[in-house]
Amino acid sequence: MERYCFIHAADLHLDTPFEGFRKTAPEVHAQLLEASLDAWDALVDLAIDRDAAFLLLGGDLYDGADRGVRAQLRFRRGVAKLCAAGTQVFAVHGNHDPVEEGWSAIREWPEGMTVFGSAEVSSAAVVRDGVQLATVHGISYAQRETRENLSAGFRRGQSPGLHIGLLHCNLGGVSGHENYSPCSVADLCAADLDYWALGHVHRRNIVRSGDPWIVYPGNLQGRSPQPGQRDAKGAMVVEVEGGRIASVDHVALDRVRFAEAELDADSCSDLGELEEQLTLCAESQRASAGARGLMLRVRIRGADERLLADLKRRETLADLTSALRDRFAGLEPFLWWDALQIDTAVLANVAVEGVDGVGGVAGIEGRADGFAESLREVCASVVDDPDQSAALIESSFEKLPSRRAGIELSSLAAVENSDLLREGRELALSLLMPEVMPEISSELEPGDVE
Amino acid sequence: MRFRGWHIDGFGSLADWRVDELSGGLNVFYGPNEAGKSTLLGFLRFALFGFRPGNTRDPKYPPPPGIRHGGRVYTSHDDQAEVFTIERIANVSRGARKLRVLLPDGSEGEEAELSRLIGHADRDLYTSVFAFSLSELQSIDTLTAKGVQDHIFSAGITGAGRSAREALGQIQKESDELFKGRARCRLNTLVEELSELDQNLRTQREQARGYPELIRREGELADRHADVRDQVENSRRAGLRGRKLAEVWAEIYRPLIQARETLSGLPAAASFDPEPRERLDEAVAEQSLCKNALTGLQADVTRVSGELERLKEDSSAFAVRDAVEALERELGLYESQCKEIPSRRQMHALLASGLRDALTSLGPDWDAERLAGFHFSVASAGEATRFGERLRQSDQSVRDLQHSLRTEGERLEGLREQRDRELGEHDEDRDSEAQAPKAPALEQRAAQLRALRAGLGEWVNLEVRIEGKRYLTGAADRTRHRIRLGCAVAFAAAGVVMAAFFVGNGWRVSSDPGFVVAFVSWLASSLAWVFTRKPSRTSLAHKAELEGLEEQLEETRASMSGLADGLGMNAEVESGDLDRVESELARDRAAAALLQGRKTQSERTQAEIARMKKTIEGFESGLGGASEAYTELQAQWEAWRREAGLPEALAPGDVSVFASGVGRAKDQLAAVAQAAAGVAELEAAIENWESRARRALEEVGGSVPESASDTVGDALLVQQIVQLARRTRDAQTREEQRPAVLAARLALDEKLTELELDVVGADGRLSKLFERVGASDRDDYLAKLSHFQQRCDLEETIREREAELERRLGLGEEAESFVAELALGRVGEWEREVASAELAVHQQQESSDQVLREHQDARKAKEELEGSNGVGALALNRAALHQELVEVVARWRVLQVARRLIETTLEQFEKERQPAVLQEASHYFSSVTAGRYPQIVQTAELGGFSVIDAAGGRKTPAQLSRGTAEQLYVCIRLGLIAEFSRRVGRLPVAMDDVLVNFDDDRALAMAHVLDEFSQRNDCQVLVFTCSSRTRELFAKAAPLAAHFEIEAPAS
Repeated sequence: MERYCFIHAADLHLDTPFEGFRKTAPEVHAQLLEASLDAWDALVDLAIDRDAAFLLLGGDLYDGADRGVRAQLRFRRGVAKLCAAGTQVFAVHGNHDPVEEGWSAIREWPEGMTVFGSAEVSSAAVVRDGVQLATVHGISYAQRETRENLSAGFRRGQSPGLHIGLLHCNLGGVSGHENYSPCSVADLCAADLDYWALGHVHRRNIVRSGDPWIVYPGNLQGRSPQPGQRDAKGAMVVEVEGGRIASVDHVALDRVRFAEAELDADSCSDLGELEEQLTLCAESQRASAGARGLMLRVRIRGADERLLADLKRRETLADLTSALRDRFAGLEPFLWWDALQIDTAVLANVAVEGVDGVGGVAGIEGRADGFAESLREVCASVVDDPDQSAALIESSFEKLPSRRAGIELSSLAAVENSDLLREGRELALSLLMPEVMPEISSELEPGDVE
Repeated sequence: MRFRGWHIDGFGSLADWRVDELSGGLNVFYGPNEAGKSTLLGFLRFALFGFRPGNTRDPKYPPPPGIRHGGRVYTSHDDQAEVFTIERIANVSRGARKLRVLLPDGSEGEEAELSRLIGHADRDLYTSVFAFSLSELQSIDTLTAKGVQDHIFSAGITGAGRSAREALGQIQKESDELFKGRARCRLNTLVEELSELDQNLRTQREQARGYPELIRREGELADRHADVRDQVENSRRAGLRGRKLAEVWAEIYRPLIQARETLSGLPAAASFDPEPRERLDEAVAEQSLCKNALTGLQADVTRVSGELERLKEDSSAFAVRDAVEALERELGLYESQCKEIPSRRQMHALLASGLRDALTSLGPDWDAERLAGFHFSVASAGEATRFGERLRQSDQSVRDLQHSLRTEGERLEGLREQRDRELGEHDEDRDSEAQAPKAPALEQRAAQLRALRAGLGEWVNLEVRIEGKRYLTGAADRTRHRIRLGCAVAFAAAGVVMAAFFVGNGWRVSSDPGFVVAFVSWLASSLAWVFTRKPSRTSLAHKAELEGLEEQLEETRASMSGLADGLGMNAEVESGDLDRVESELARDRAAAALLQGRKTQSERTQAEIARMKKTIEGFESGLGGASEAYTELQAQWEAWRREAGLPEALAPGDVSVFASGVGRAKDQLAAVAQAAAGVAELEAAIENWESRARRALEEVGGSVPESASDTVGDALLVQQIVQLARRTRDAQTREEQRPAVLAARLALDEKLTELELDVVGADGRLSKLFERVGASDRDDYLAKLSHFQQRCDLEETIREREAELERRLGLGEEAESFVAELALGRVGEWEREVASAELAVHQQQESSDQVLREHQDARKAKEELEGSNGVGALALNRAALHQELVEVVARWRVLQVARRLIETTLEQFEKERQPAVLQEASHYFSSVTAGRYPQIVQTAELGGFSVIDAAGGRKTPAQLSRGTAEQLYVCIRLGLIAEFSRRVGRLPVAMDDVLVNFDDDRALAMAHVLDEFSQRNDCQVLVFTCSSRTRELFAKAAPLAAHFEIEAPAS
């Protein structure tokens, strides 16, 4: 066969629990539940549509050892469908679904499915119409804590066709990821393979475009509003011509997408206009997301002072979010307003008419009164003095139990220390403004979770 | 901010009270007890802050009924000219605003404007520090209350925004909502929900882990169920044979044997055709049907024959049916004619009578014949009218001329009387005319008078100009005289001075006589120059001009004198003289004009009389001609009337009336003729109908009534005709019905023949049926048929049982064996086999059902697990809860950081700012205590303070005398107010009777301090006092203070 393609996907996290947002509407909840499985179905359909010779799955098929029956059966149905269509499936287990942890509802895989073991790197041939197209080498994690460099066991054999390595690993010790099966590009190159089909890092990345190809396809379905989860998720379609890899293209297969937009609200004079601008922003994001559900978060910047004064009222953001959710309710595919955020620094500086004179002067940052001046001095001294900063941050845990009902509360502190100080300072300043109390929605810092 | 004044609409006892022009410094308000000082303090607080919200115990100072509760204060930013008006009304109607802030330009401002004016101070701060009463001064709580401490020593003093305590309170509130120990709060709720969710999730996951075991158990149960099902099947088969033997024996085999035995015992029977019973029933029914039909038809024939009898002919009536029908149709007309003819006859008589009257009115010679022969055309009538018109016009001309002659004669007579009167007046005027001046002389006098008046004007003008010139000339002379006098005095003075100088210096005349001479000469020459100096050129010009004017005046006077002589006046003419002469001249001119007018009128009257005479002569001539023309026209009319045949005395104007009378008489003549013709026509029609009726009656042979000669109409005849008409209609009807009834009779006869043949046929077919089976009659036929059918039934039963046996058992050896077993007939043994098998099946079936249920449960559990998204849903819910918990913890931490920052700042701020307040307060306290207590210091307790005496001893406020403590509290407030003024802005201070407990020395000292404070901080202070002594002390200590009085309200 002179020309064929195969598909490379990883980190399916079937039946994955999404993270980073609060409770959603029932219809959204239902679609979120199905998202990872629908994405898997889309992957199966893609492979069949493209008449792929084989499908590579680079680990973390499930999200954890306690995987659901529904996910395993759905996965098996997909595999059966692929095998029936003549597409072989090769899979390894990663740190989320190691071989020796968890359990399997599948007693027997269909013919055409190969799950590599964890004892050693093993190989399997891809044969179509009597011709060996490729040899896939792979190894699964026996346990979650797999810290050895599994790539060392890969060697190109003598068989004809492409030689592909299928591995779940942290290449180059990428920060923000558990350093499972750490390895380097040199390690991979040493194996003399043609294509390394990797898994583990959720942001797609073609690390090396040939000799050998080293590719992270990213996860199949985004899992949270974090930056690393917001881009299009899917699989890599690898075209092979004349026994060589001709192209590697990403195809989006996710069913739900996370988006965060910024809205410059300078032109909005009241909440009504802001709502219209937010609506336009949402429509734009929705158009970009295509035919898939959208979890949308919008950060509002640069609003008119009067508008910001309105936004400082505790219930305003909640009411506005609720109104937007009502406005977009019932859409198919759905659009869920995850959160509206306001720049807290802007809030603290909001001029409230009547405080400093007509026309609005700067907020408390610009106030000349003694207390504001002292507050600024105290804040500056705290920020400049590491001991004071540490003491202040430590004080933020005072009275809060470290553990309650089996939940580690102290480990839930998602706010960075610098942000904690900044937000605390801005809150203190804004509280001295009359009448209003800001509702500062917490925000998660970006991170490409393993 | 300071108060510029106020207007209280109504507040407690104060009503409609306006105060303006408050001092920007110290203001003392004196008023006896109950005058309203505390009320005033309350009003100022109310105006700035309103009442405290909610149901408080604060006094509300309600005004008397019908008065608005509130008022206005006029304020400004310190000494700026712009005045802000703050109006606050407590008892506004619904929807109205309680507070209005009017800006200096008159527009309405926002409430924030007031907040800016008062430096964003709140009610507590202002009440505690700036505007307080004696009781509030004495209450230490007002200074130690935590909220006030905040305002005084910390954030509140900053002005803008909330106090730090409020901010901390808000943080605490939100913190408590998020987390508060074990109490109900968001974090604990979330943790509980999360914990519960985790438990459910563990359960779900545990269930999921059991999936392989479920699959294994499902398989095992499926196998067990198959085994039990086989056992059931074997037992069921075992019992089935016995049940089948028993069933086949009972249902098939035993009836078969019995049928065979019964058939063999029956005798032979005749053979019947198929459906013998039905055949019999059909033949009997046919026979009965035919007989019934024949009977019915015979009844119909009888009925039709009767009908034919009834329709026999009435030929005589039928023959006259058309004539009778016409008579009946005209009967209504006949009757109406009979009724009408009397009125017709009466009408004819009336018309004939009217005609006679008309002929009489035309004249004695007029009868119907003459009337019919008389013709008077329309043209003749027009001619008569024209004669009348011409005669009337001719007569009118004569009358008009006679009238004109009378009128003109009367006018001529009047003119002649007027002429005579004017001639008399003319004779009287002749004497006056001779004495009156002539017109040319009058005109000349008028011209002289105008010239004299012009000269008088010029003379006055000249006199004014001369007077001016004389003044100018005199002024120049006086100036020159004063210059001369001044110079002389100056030269003389200079000489005296010089002489004195020289004499003073020891100079003697004898020592230098030449100098004396020279000096005297100089003095003399100077004086001479002065007194001989010529007048100026201007002065000379004025004099020359004056002289010229005087000459003109003289000339004018001479000219006027001449004119005055001409008019008979004095030479010294004055304006009044001229007026008098002018009026005389006007009178003379009017008298002359009157005389001339009368003369002219007399001449006009004479000319009119002559013209009138000629006119009268013309009228007299015309009257004669007109009278002749009238006489001639009258003769022409008489000739024409006779020719037209009109009556003698008929005037032309009456011709048309006469002609109308003739026309009406002719119309009446025609109407009489028409009425006579109508009566004759009616009588003929009645006669015609009656003769035709009698003829018709005669033709049908009926009795004909005699005709009555004295009455109109014959009622008997009418009645007989009506009866005859009814008879002819009946004859007509019978004639029309008869053919149809005849045709029906014929048809019935034909049908009767056919039915009689059918009855014969039916009888024949029934006899043939009986002969076929050898039966004598119907009962015999039925008995034979019953015997035949019994045999047939038995044979059919045997065939059915044999077929059923073959169907149930089939063919072959097994079937034969089964039949052999049946032939044995061991029914009891078979039933025992069945019972035993059924028991076994029942027991095995229960076991099978149990296994089946277990299998189904296992399969259901497996399918539920396979289809369940419980783990995913719970995990998703957990993630959402977890996210909320993360946010709560993060928010909690931010709140704690913010709290810590504010607390740190608060401590630092109090530490740094408080000394400045106490230093200022120390200054005032030292002054009011004459140096006995030079310092106020801060204590360790937050917000606490004590005083240091001159000896360095420390005392707390509680250790001070009441008066000294009150001085201390006033001074502390002054220190705070000074700090507020520096940091935020000035606010007016108001004290209500706070000096009442001070002796004179203390009060005087405090008055000095307040005056100093006011000037030092440029702060407005309002002191309310009920003590006249205090007022005097303030007047002494602060001379610039403004004083006002609050008058006690009338009870």
